[in-house]
Amino acid sequence: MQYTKIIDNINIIDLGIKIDDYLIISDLHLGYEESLNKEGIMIPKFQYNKILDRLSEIQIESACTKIIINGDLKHEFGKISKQEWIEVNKFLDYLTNEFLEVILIKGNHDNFTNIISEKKNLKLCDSYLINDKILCIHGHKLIKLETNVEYLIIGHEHPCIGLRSGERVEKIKTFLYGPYNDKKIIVMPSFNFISEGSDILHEKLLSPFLKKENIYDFEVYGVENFEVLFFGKISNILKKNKKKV
Amino acid sequence: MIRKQTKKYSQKEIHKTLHPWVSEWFNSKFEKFTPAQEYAIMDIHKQKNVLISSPTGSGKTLTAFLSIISELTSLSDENLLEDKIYCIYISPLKALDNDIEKNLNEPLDGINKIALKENKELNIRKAVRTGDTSQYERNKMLKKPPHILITTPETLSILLVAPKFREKLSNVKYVIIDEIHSLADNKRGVHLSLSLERLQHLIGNYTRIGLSATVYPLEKVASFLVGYEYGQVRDCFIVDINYLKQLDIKVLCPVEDIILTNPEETNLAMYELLDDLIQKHETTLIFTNTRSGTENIVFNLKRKFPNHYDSNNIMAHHSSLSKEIRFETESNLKEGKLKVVVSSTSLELGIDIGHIDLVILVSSPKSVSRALQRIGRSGHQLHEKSKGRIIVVGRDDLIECSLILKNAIEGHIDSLNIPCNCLDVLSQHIYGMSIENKWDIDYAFDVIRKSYCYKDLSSEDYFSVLSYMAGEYTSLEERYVYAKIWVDYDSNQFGKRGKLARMLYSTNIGTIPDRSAAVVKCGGKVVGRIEEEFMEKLQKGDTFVLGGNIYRFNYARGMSVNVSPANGPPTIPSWFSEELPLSFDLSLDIQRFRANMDGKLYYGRSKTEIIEFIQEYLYVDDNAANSIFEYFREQFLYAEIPSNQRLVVEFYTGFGGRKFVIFHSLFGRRVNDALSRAVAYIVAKKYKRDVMISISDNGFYLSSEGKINGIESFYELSSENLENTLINAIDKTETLASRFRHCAGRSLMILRRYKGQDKSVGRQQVKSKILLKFVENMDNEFSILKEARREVIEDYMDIKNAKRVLQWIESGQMEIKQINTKIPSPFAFNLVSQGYLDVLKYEDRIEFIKRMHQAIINQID
Repeated sequence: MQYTKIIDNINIIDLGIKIDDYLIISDLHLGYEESLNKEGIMIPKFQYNKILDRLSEIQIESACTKIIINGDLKHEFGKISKQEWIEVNKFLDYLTNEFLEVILIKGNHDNFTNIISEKKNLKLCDSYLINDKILCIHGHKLIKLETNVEYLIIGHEHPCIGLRSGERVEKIKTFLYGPYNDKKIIVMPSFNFISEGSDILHEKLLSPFLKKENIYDFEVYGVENFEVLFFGKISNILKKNKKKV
Repeated sequence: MIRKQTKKYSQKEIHKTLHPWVSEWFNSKFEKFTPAQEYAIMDIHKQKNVLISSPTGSGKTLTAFLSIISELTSLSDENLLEDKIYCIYISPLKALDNDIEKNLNEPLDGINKIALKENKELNIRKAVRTGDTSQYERNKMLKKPPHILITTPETLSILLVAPKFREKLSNVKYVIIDEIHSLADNKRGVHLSLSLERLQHLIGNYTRIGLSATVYPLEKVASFLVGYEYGQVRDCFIVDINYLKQLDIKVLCPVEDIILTNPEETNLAMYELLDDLIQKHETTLIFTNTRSGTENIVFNLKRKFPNHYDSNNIMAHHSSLSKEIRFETESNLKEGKLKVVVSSTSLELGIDIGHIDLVILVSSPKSVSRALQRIGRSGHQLHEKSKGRIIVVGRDDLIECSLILKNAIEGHIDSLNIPCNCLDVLSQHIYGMSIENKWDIDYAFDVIRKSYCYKDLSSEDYFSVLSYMAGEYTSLEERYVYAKIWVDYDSNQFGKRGKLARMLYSTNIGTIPDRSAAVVKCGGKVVGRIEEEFMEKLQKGDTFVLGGNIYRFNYARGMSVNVSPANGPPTIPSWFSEELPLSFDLSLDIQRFRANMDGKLYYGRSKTEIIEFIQEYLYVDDNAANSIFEYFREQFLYAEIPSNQRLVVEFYTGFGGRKFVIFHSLFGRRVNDALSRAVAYIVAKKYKRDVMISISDNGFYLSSEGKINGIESFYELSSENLENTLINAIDKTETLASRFRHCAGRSLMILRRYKGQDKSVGRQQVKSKILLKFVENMDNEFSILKEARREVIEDYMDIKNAKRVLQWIESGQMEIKQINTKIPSPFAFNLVSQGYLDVLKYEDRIEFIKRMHQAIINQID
């Protein structure tokens, strides 16, 4: 496993970000299977163990002692499903055992996460500031930023890109890095294995922090199976995809 | 045993078996019994199973009903008619059900009037029960069940688990299945075949009556109708009255020489010919092969001949139109208000459409039986000739249509394929059975194997379905969510699980997949629809054709696609073709004709001689014969004529040095789909390259950036390794993914209606991919995945006949001949010009991603 430096002390490690002793992951959406079940898709629960396995590998490699969940720990908006009760509980126990500090950031899916987290004496916060200049925030709504903030790290977008050759398209999870007003923004991929995410080359952007007009200058870091691949700017990929093979 | 009924009964004999009132009514209406009636009525009277095959409009339904009505009349006469169902009539269409219900009024009222003269009120009831029947109507039926129940296959399977209503079925003596040929070749028929066995298990023997249009082989359809008992097919008589209804069919070329005339001129001439034919007839029904073709013809006729056609006298009828519009068209047609109706496949089946004196088929209907079925929609009166004109639109089309004409005249009909061992349909029925009662595992297996479609079901497959239904693929504590049944291997039993079982079953059964189309919007206006699979492939900047216009894809949100107008050639071909495949039997006939022509040209026969041969062999006129001659002569002089003895493989280098390997395999696109993908898979592995594939009915080509030797790879393919190769080749394809979604729906792994909500198909599509990924990782032999693959290679493609082709090559019956061309040979022209269909991928995901990564990075440098 490699670290890939985005800037300063901000590194990509698989689907997570490592900043000094902090490990950041985002958008786990525990309980997604049960919500699929309710829609009539009878898929058994399979995510939890995958998430745990992947996280534990990253943790060993990074040796971080603090973890930040950058929003959307669980999936249901309006309630806590049975699967969520069980899995969120187990997962928070795992985190508190494995890390010295656990920081939970509230995502738009986390309306009821605090009911479980408070039992573990963990508070949900709206944002978290690292080293006085790196702000972690889920990214579903805009907030006023202090002048000391230099970098924003958001989730919510579940970015991925579709690589295309002829008719073949393969989607790959990605980090995005680019300007946001006078600051810089890093968008994290989702830490779940239900899908690659939403194709930023193809679909409408979700986070209000991202604007279609300036996304073309964003840099793209693809992640596949612990490996990080730098793709240059989005405009490059679009150019390549357009060319006939 | 299945036997042809050769005994024809006399008018007197038949009248003797009928109740006198029925006899009297019949005589008041008809002169004499039709041939079908002379053969079939007595057997039905004796409660023998019968399959009646005769053209539409030959009084088939009355043949089936007459002895049943007579028996009901006798019972009523003797005051023995109980409040029970005696006869179930099943048709594939609700509209046909409604027609039949109305049409039964005539005999029932007529006979009742006669009975009334003797102060007897018959009170024979009939009723339609389908998904549209209201709760009120259903309650009414429960209180006073109809003696004749008119329904659909899906509703029948729901009735089998209806706690009270199923009791009313206990007295059923007859089951009539109308348009059985249109059910037998797909999963609706498979589904019905199991319902019939479940009904038989419930109530014991009953008489099965099948009504079919002209199909081949009738023995197979008869076996499908009656099923098996102790591994032996049950008895059935076949009544085959096919060529009594005279046919008047002609193939028409709109221009003198279709080879030399350019497409625009041909198109113009076609509309003039259409107009001419329509104006010379009362009411014309035009069939095209696609929905878009249907729209085009309506549009152009109105535009080119505004004095002849407007919205009042010309209408379209196809499956994408709303129910209301279709109904309006049908009733206008019945009332004789329309001059012309243009349809795709939706008017093929026997709903009553009034008097049609001409049917026109625009371009090849791709099979003889379809041509007969369509043309049979005209002259809807007994003893009246059916009049059909097939208008050809291109050179390959001309050959195809001519062979269709020959076969129709000579009575050679293509054989129909009945899907077997469908594990998704089986899952549904096992669920249904478990709701009825507890079953002994072996006993249930026996009942299932009575169906023609499951007579060879292996116990492995059966147990894998039981295991799936019992949720054994999930952990024990999760089963309460996923298991639909319980299976107890100790007591050898299975039964239903959960209180909602019956409700879930009744709201989710059926085999017709929900298809969805995405709405395409341009500047806020809806400009059309595209299939969801097509939408998935689109990326920003792609251009594609829709309704004759070119659009640029901007973005998609849910099932809505935003586009803007664009120019230039489209970047994405529309490879989700709705075109009908050429039947294998017809393709072989074309190949035989090619062999004949090859021989004549080879031996230097004169033009006159060959043209005479063509006219005699194909029953075509001068123009057509001349065009066919020229087409073959060009191919002969320039290249080689492929035939049933010679598979020509053409190497052709296109623009920019791109290499094409063209296989002149005229076996229909279903066979070519299987062959091409299997060869492409071998090529891709061998040369480590993406391979482009294009397929048509007449052949396929492979193409790649570098040099590939397609013949060598083709030789590596054998009848032995075809199936495995093909299964590897279709892995991760959109075709498999979308079939998997349908199979997951049929086997209730995806519930369309669950907890009071309808699930939109668009959402299902995305989510079913998650399910597919999960299933593939879990167990590559999972029954539903296996079924999806079977459906792709056996039903969507035609692996069985593809194997036969490979066997011919292996035995030397068919030689392979390689040719090299600078411009594509005449026979290859249509194929090469149609663009590619798909690209076979050779790399693993990670290899692919790395290659793309490198390509993008190189570009930056």
